[in-house]
Amino acid sequence: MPVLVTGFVCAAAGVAIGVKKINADNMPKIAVLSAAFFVASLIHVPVGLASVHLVLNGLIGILLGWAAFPAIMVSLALQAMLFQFGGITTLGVNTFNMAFPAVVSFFLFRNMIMTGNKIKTIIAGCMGGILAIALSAVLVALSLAYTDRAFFTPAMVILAAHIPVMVVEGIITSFCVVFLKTVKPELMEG
Amino acid sequence: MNLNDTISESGSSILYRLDPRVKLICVAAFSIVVALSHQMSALIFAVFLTSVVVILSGVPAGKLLHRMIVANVFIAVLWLFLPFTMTGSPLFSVGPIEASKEGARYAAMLTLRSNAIILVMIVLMATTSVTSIVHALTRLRIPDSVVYLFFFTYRYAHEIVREYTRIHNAMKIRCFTPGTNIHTYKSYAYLVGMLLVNSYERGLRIRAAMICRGFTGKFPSFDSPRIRHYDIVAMVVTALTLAGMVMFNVG
Repeated sequence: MPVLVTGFVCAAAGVAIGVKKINADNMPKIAVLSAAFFVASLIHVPVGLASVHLVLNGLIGILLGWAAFPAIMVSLALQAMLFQFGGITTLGVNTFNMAFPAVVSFFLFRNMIMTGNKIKTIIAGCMGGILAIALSAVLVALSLAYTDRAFFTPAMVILAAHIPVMVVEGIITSFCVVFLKTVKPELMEG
Repeated sequence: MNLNDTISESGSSILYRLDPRVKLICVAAFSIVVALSHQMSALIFAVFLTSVVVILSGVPAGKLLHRMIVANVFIAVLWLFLPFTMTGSPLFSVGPIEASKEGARYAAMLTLRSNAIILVMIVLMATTSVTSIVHALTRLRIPDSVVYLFFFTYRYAHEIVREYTRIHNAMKIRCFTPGTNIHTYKSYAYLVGMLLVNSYERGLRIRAAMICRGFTGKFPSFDSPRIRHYDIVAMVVTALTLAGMVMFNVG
């Protein structure tokens, strides 16, 4: 209960800031990235014998900044409605856990990606992808552990399971940022 | 990868006719009460109620079951941990590890709680089109930009899935076999990049097409937003049962 309320309040604050950044001109871009976040969970990438699905919150953060909050919230709401992932009551917590790391990646690495040379872009993109997943995994583990002490072990397992996800996301975010910078710089701006 | 938004949109049961706003409010209130319930009796009552709603809704059983299985995979994982990690009176043991009654009880409550919420969500989505949900959200005073973002995301999600399938097929035709190597990750990164570029351009075209057809940033609704007598009945019944569930939790 305290976790749900805290998550809801933090997410609402983030969404309130993010909504101010939405206007008629950047709506298609935000919606496309929101939809991409939604679809990313369906794209499976092999890691050793297992596979992980993409999260892409680092990439979305780097491209959207604060608007990542409404984008991710809308996407999670759709997932809850269409696939029964997550749920409506946990929407606040989930939004915060996914979008806050995205915004952190934006503030730490965005500048380096936009102004740096290719090497710097690769490094910053990779760090952005890794950091977003790492921070999300820690937040998810904390939310679970604070919800009930019984969730402590599953929370630790979730944390460990995210290490390969971090590596994959780092590599993919890095390549993706370089690709977008070369092919479609408009997507990177504003 | 199938993105069917509704299980069956056309139906005749009472749940199809309820006002989407009423359905949204009832489902949200129900989900919150169920999520906060911590008594076994209240949760069993909740699952019983949702079963009644499911039967009333007339949603096809096969598709319902399919969605239930998908949603229950995560819960099955929790069953592997919770009985063993919670301490309490022993239930059974696997080798040196002992399962506790408290753990099993906790996992059972979690299963009931999740399934009750999942079931009402499935019924909501099966009996309401996304367009009417968009209208309902606008009328419930959710900020316009969030509602439009919701609508466009939903609209573009279909495009992105189609685009993904197209590019992925193109890769497969060219003998792309995914593995744990940098080539695979690079290919997937470019796939995502191309997906964003193509969808962004298509998104702009969709927007331009909508503006050409007179889109002013508002979604006009043709169905009357009148609350009918059965809407009031549904609200009262929901309020009463929720009050009942709160009583179960307190008493």
